[in-house]
Amino acid sequence: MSATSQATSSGVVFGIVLVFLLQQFGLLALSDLLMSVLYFAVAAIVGGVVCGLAARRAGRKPAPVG
Amino acid sequence: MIGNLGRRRGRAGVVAASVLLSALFVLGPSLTGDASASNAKASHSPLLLLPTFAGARVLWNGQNVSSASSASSAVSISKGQSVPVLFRFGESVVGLVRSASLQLTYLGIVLTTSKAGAFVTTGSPFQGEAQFNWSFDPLYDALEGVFEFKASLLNATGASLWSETFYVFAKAPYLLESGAVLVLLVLAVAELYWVASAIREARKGARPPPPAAWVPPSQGTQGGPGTTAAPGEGQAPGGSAGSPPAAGDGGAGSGGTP
Repeated sequence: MSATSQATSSGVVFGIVLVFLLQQFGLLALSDLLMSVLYFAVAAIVGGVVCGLAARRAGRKPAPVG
Repeated sequence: MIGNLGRRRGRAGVVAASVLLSALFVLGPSLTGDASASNAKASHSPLLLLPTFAGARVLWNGQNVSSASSASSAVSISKGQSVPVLFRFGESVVGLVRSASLQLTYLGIVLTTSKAGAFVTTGSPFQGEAQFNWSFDPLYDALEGVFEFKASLLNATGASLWSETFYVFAKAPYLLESGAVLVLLVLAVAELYWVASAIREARKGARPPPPAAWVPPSQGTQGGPGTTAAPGEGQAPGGSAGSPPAAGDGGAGSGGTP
């Protein structure tokens, strides 16, 4: 499993967990199923894309030696 | 070429999926709002349009729940608290209403339903009442947060005559007491750690390879001063010490004497 795909999958799970946490902290209501699925889908896509892009960018740019 | 084409198709697919989801996300509330409005129109009988039903109200711990119609303005309940829920409705519909119910919905699933029989009171502006105490305690150890409640007045067959939706924020003193919050926090921290370690691995992989170790030239015929050219730079066999640099030679470093 490459670093990019690992970061992407972790970002997807983090996005879903974040939606649950927002509901638990009273910032989001997950009562309607359609809206809940939308929240989860958008959070998963955003989390996966952001983390995947970050890992891919880090893979292109070498770390400073030292 | 084929790889680039596939990559472009993949990107186009991601962009199309994002646009579709965004459109659904933007249009979703309006679509569901229309659907609920049409359902309400279909399910409500003309009797519900009587002005007396407009006076029906639900009091949550003495507070009218019509002010808690969104998650941000939710009424609250604490752990261990038992909240009196009072339904009041007008005189003209007293004969229709048999009971009142309160439903908690989460992810489209009704988690709990509480019911109470309606009774008639006298000497007050509202003639019908139904009351019960509601507690979140059976669910507190697992869940907290904002939940949607639906308060309904039911007729003898159990059909809903009137309903109102409101939000309740079930909160622990430090917002950390339910098991779900702790599990989710641990999971979030673990996911962040894995993302950070994946990025670190990616950066390590991108580091340029260390320079190859210097291999001493083989002893004997190729040895001698002036043969320090890098491998593959057109060394002449038999050593080049003392000979003029040949055409196409590596140039510097391979000639001994000018």
